[in-house]
Amino acid sequence: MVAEVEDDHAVRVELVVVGDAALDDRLTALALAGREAVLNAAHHAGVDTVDVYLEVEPDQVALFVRDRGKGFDPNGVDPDRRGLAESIHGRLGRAGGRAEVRSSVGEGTEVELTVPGP
Amino acid sequence: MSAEPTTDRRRLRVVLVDDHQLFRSGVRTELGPSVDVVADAGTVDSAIAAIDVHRPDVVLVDVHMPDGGGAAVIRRVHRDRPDTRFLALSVSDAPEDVIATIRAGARGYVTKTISGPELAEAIRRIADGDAVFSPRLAGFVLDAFASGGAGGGGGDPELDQLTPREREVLRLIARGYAYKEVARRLSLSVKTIETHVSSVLRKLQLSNRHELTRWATERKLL
Repeated sequence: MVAEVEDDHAVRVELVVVGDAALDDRLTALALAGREAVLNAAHHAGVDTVDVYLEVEPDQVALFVRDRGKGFDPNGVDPDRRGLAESIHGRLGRAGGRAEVRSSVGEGTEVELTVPGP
Repeated sequence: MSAEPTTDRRRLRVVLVDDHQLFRSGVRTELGPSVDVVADAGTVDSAIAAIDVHRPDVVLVDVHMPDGGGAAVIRRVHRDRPDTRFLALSVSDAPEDVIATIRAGARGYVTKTISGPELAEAIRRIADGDAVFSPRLAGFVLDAFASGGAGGGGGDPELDQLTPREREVLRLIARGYAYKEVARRLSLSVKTIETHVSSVLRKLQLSNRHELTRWATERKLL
């Protein structure tokens, strides 16, 4: 999945994985939401590298997608980010997870996605 | 009170060891004027000879080389010159090779996706005696130290576990945060972050924790 996004969007994805878990519906939802977050970074951040960190913990699985790009004002309404609502929040919500976005202008963006543990 | 690290004002002297000529010339170019690449070498033997002649501040060494790799260079140089500082620089390597290179004595590991300025900063840190952890190395370490409890095998329990703070620092590095950003996030000084990372490096090098080896071996299968 990472390789496909890299090929299609000329962005390098640095993937770091800690722990291991069998892929179930929740983790599939997490992976797909993560893919959306990486695509968002590739499209909007104006960077050539995106850091992705996946950690399997006993009680939750967390996925962080971070770029050092343009960033945005989380309080400002950006119609481009509407994709985030359904493809990330919606998908994760149905899997019992949640998404949090941290960003400020000029400081890049980090999306934190979590689903309950395996 | 403007004391700065001694290495701050002069060009650092670096020997570059990698078996690909094209890569070596690329790194030279990327590093730019802040670093003086005094020699490069493509084999373990020529690397040892070059380090012996030039006595560089930092040796940049590839993890994987046909004749033994970075670990072989580090072990042989450290026999006579234990003060020589090594930074491992490589593509996405197998964890057991990276951990072996660190345990042989490298003070850091960065991947070849690093930018020129970031690499120059990493070299400076190594020259100052600090440790340099890329996101990937931080992930390896978190994974290797993940299983709870003491390491067993009669090791020093202090060396076999990470403190909660060290874990927190490594997690942020694994997420792609630079030391400066980790410091800001945790409301600590960069110096404190460097101290935590150096302490993790020490544990990584000295721990007898058998999980380290077992984990690395298991990962080889992936």
